[in-house]
Amino acid sequence: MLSMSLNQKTVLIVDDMMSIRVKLRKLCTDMGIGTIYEAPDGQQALDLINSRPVDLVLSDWNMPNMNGLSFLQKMRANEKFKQLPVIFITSENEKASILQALVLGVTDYIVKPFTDDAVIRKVSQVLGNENKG
Amino acid sequence: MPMANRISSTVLEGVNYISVGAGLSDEDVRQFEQNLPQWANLPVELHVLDMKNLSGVPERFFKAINNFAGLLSLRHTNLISINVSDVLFGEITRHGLAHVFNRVESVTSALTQKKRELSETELKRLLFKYLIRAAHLALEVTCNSTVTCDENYMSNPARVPYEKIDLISVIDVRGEFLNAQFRLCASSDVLTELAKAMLSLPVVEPEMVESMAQELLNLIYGNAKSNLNENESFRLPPAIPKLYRRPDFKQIKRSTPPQLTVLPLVTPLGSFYVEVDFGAA
Repeated sequence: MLSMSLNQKTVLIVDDMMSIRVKLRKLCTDMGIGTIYEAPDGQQALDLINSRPVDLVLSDWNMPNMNGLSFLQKMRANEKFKQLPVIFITSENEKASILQALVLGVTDYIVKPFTDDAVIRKVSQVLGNENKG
Repeated sequence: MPMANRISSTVLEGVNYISVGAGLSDEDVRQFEQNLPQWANLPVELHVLDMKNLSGVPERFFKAINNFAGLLSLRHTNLISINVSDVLFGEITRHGLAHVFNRVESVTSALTQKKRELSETELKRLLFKYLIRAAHLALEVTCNSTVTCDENYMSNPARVPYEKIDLISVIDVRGEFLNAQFRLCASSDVLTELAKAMLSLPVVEPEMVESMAQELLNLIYGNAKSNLNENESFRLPPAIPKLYRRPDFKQIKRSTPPQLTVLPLVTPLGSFYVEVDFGAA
């Protein structure tokens, strides 16, 4: 049931490292997600979500131009993106960092290095919950 | 664990974040009270109450938080409150609960450990230990591989086969705590094998190989930094690796021991080297 609905979903991957974008794209494709966009930083990601509908954002934290935290802050400041699910995928795992992200409204958090299972489980959970809602 | 009212809980990476929304009613607090025993039992290290700069809450909310703090003290788990307005903090103080709410002005300063005074030897010992541990984790999780590091080899850069190195990714750290340059040196062949393992692909593009050099250092430095800051009270900053290709290597100023230490990391897919240069930054 879930895989059938996932082909209707759109995921945006935001990471300055091409290897991570390719890895996440492959995982999302294998999960059956229909549309996958990529952006190398927060600024380009912001431009993208303003021009196309997206169901879930997977974002790194440390990126040039605009980091993941500023990207999240700008998103949440816009009524249109207040409920858009955002999962941070980052090596920032200090309590202070996690709390900063929570205060700004991050939906979930995956610490790098990540396993395929962790990504699949959390992406399914978020998109699954969204389906129920 | 979202609730259908104005108090919600999100649990991430050992933190229970409790968000208290405006317009809190007695009924909201009643539901909150019912959830408290369950929330107190969550396997987390910290509960954070975000008051979102509210100016007021129902009276029974104070008692509920006092009870919650009582349950947490039995489990030796901390509670802090953030975004507490001065008006609300006045109320909290009037109830004699300032120590219970444990208001903090800044998330970062409240959760950042006091800087430790370390000898140079101790600092290096911890730094190398956590870098090697991070390399193990990166290779194991990302590439499903293993890595070994001969610690006796650390101070012998002359044995590094620089003629075989094609790519070097670099992180510069300059700050009150530490000045150092972290460099990951590898051949294209080894990085190609690592990228193939990471992506489970038979062939990878040259761009992917370059990205792998940066991401590997990103994973190793990022993981070591977070754990050193969290567990050992280091103050290492976040950083983004820069990439140097062979024609650019002359831009890199490599020190000599004892300012330079090399961690040779040997994997079944080939070896790469992490240099920590205290003289280059």
